[in-house]
Amino acid sequence: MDFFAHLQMAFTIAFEPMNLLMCFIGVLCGTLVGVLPGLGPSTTIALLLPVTFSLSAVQSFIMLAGIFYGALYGGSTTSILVNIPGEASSVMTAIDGYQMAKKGRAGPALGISAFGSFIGGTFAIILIMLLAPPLARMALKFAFPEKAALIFFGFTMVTYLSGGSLIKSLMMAAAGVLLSCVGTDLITATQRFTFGLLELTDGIGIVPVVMGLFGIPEILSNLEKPSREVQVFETKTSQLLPSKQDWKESSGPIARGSILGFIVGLFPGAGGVLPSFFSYALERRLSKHPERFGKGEIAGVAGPETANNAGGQAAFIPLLTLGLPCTPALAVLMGALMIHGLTPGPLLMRENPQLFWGAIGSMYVGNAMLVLLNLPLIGLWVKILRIPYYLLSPLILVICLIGAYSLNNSTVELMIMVLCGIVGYLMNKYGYPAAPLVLALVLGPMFEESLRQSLIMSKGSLGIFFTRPISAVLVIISLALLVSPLIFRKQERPKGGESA
Amino acid sequence: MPQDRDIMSSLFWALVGVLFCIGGTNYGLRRSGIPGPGFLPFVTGLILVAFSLILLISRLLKREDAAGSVREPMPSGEALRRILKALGALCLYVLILEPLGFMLTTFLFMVLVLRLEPRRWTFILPAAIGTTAFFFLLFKVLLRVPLPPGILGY
Repeated sequence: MDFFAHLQMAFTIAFEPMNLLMCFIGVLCGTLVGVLPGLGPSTTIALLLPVTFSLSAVQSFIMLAGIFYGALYGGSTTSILVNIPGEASSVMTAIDGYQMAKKGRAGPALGISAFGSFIGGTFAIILIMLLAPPLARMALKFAFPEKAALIFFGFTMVTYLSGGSLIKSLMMAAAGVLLSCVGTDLITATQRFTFGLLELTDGIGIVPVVMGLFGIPEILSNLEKPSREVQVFETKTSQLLPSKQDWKESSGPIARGSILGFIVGLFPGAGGVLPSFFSYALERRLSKHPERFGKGEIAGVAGPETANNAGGQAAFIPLLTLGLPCTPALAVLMGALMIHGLTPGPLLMRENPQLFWGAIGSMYVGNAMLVLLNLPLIGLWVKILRIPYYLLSPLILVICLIGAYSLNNSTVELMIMVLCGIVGYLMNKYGYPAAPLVLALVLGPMFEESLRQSLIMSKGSLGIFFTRPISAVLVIISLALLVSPLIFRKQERPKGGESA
Repeated sequence: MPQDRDIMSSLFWALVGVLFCIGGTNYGLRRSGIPGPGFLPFVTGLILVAFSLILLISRLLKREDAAGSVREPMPSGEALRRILKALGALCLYVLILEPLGFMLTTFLFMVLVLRLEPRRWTFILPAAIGTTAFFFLLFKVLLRVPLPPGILGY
């Protein structure tokens, strides 16, 4: 059977010593940034991207993907122990997890979130293996109009789900497309908006933009508050295993969280925030004791943590089969693949099976490593939290500065980063989400190419997007989503943070 | 006043849109009947202007929607000064990195950022020297990242 042949191939590649090492480094870095507030997965992937130039495509993808899902694990530790979600995706975990820690049950809370994450993540990887091949086969039939419609659909979903004001999300997506126009035009080779700068002929790089829009504002807003001591609960590793009763109460939430998280995670823009948000809401509704939620209910930890990891893994499906990154971190990951000369999309599985199945295999291995890493090393992560922030923040800034400079050895990238830092800080303050901008910046060139090629096919008529069934469906859904807030008055949407 | 912030920012983004529209027109919207290199910047610029104006008008009419009102407060006083100093330090880093070199620039930057809150020099100087040395070892020696040597030769 196909499945087992693929599984064998996946594990053979993942267990090559160099790949194992990269996977380990990736999940270790991921856990670390998950623990540290102020350094998100997207910034970290951007930072380490220049380091991967000397690695093979498979190795760099395994490492950078490890950062992405490793951060989903790490975030829960700080949520539970200090009520500081290291990542936006762990906000829901903090609610009941911290209450459990206050009652002296930090151990089981940490344990169940690690096991839940593992189960949710592994469940999602199995589904990736089953669903990705048929999806990619379908996507192979996509021509330029379908591609353009798909990217348009991706933009719409991201703006729709990124939280905050819809009009501002749309403005940011437009701004991202505009920024992606900077550089050499793909079709006519015209230099656009480069101001004669050689560094801009290849376009504005994703790395300085991501570090500027996500990394710098986070540090700046932490600088606003005077530094303070972090209160950490002491936990012994021996108490980490959840009791039989804990398992009984968590098995339902974990099972539901896996499925729910996977489905929600498939949608571009849902990121790590929405799966855990929905799972928490679902568990509270289904619970026999909804009044216990918010006071240290283990189901409120198990469900969201599982959903968050299942969703994070599921987000690889649109990336690997359609070339559609669901979150800013995956957009940077896509940028990394493109630097290695690979385009994520339906052809990836056929032309680079090594990379595709190697990545899948490394996810199984990485998830297992994360459980083993997280539980015994909790003491270490907690110690890292004790590094005072006034020392940590300049360190992160210097790493960003050097990372941006080392891309091309040019101060142009540095200027872009600092400029994006200022704009990104103000965007936070003024309620403009950065995720749509980053995704539009990455997808912009592909969108432009497929849009213009479609219009060449149709001799300039927009009708081509409505006469072909797949593109028609995608465009109509997108337009309906965009118009719906005008018709129905919206409920307040959850505020998306940096999101995984 | 959150309304004022929306007005200012929507005008800013409208200006960005207009600039890209003008640029797009210069690069050519159509070439022999099909969209040219200026097509996408022009159309997207127009869309950005349109959305900015919708935001502007709805705020002028004070129709604040519930979801849009989630904002962080602007810092003021001491906090604002810290932010501006940090931004100043970042800009300075960009300006002096190539002429002064990696070591000196990083050292100065660390001193500036560590001094954002009142602290003793007996802490700041060793911390700045230590971190600069750490970065030198990490990036220059271990990862072999080419960094500008500047006047010190490092």
